Amino acid sequence: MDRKKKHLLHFYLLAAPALLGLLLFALGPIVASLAISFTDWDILSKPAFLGLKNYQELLFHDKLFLKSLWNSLYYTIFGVPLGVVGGLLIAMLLNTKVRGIPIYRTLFYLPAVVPAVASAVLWIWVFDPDLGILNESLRFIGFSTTPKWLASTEWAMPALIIMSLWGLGAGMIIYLAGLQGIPEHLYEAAKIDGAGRWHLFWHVTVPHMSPIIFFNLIMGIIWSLQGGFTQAYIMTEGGPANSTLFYTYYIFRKAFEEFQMGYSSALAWVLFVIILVITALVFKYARKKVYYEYLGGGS
Amino acid sequence: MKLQLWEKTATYTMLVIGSIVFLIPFLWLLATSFKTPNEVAESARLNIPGVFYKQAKPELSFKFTFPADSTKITPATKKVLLTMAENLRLQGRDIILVEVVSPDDSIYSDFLSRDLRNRRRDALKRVVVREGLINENRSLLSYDKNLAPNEFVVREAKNIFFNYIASLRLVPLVRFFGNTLLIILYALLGTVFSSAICAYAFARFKVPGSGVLFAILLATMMLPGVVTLIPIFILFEKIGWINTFKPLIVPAYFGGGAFNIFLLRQFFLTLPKDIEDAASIDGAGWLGILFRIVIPLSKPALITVAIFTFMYLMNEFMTPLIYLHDVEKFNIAVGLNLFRSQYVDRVPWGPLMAASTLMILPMILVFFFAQRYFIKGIALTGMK
Repeated sequence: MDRKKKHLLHFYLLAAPALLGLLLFALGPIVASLAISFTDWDILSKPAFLGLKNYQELLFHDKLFLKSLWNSLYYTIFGVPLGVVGGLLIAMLLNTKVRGIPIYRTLFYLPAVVPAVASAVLWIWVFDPDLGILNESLRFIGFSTTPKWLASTEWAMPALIIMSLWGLGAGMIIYLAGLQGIPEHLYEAAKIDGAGRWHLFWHVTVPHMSPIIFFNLIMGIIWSLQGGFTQAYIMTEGGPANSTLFYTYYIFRKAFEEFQMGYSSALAWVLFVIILVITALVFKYARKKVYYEYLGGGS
Repeated sequence: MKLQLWEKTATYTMLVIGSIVFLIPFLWLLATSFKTPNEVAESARLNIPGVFYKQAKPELSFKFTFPADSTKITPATKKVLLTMAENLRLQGRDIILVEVVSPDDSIYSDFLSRDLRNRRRDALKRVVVREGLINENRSLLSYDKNLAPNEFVVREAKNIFFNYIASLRLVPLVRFFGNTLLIILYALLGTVFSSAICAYAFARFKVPGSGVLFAILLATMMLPGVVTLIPIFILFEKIGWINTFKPLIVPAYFGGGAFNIFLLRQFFLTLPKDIEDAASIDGAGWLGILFRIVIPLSKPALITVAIFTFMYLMNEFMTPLIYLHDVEKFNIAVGLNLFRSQYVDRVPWGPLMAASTLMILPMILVFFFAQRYFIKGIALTGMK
């Protein structure tokens, strides 16, 4: 056997599990999901073909579809930019050369290792209107009326966004790795030219960090649009008055509580398309601002 | 960059304030896990010293006599028991867990909590008798040999870890941790092994089309999980894997995730090819090179993958929720919610916080143990 054929054999032997997984757990299910979305199916009986009826129903008649989509968009519009900017600012703070910085880095990162279920349980308690530490602190500062947080339709979603910022550390650590890759001499050179802090930030830090900011933004949007399930399931059960019924939670209810596999697949596909469109738009408009020179290999 | 004094001061101020803000929920969790129900219901403060003041209270116990005609724990005996406990509570005592061993050796335990929704004192009267959770461990119960055969002493839990002990009684927490460990062990093995061999394939063997395959593989990272969720569920349902650990384990053996493959491939590409060539000249086969040379050299990267996977698996909630139906199959993520779903209007906050602490503890330990690998590993992903 010549070298080329050998390589081919070795490659496919080693990559076989992953390629099979790609078919079984990614590409296959996408196609299957689309097919199921045209049916009425409760798994137990035979699926009945409905054509586009599921899509008509959800787009024109289902109020919860719009409500849950809006909830997920709201969560994303506020949560992702706050997370991206906050993560970068904290990474910059943690990139200063002062004593004890490894300890501070650990403290800021720690919440990111807390499992979602545990942090949900913990934050129910933090948000308790009467006994929670958040309102206790607000009262201590001097607020006479404090929000009811998870029990109020206006404040439940902001509460979950605040909670998501607690886990900022996960994105922060990627920024930190990036900041450490910016050559020091660039700052020195800019300083000699008389650049101030603000100037250094906008003309040295941001351009060099832009590929990472872009990566975090894209992944943040994708995750956030389908996120919130664990928090909502444990903390609010989607309430009050569906104000925290995230899109994924709605899919979960339709699929695993009402066993409407067809309808929930249609919901999932609509989300898939929305995510594709938003991601494509972000790619189109944000990519131009991304500065790739120092990424190496021009990837 | 040299920092000026005011900059240094500002930096430290922000660092300290930030650390406190990030840390407070943890301290709050820890403090609550040591609070008695009355303390939980009365104060939001972080009074960790509450533990010590609790310790200083005199020990309390009350004697419980079974009716002469019966040695079984019947609803009537439970009622007597709970009335006694309730009276003590009205005297201002805090009782976390009431347990009694009946002469037929069954144990009855119940959690007593002030109803947090209705925080007035008379809410105490609404203690509900629930079917007991039978447990073989009876360390909370003081068993006094001088008592008559049908007499038992119920004692207030004085151990400062009372909430931790109670959490083990209220839900089968040990079982949940065991299940979690089992699932994670197998899934971790599968992920590390299959992502390593796949990454090696893409790093070393350039074959026609491998670039496109790699791009498709990476693109799945951006694929929303909810789209594939339902067909995969139906697949596992059809082959009878619902209510088993298999749906949580088996997929890990099929590639182990695009991100892990990407990370390992990047690492393998940095290994000098000379070592492999030398081994090849020495007569090592291609598998020998992979398992005896490449994998041992890649320990930091493999550990990084293992840590990421561990955190991911502990974080997962919807998947176990969908696939695990019987309480005895629950992992810790689903099991933790049992505290809330099973005790709807009298959630045992102290024990729940204790159980949450137990869940977070291994994460923090792993993080500290693996921190240096972790940060190195992230720097290796090439995202700089």
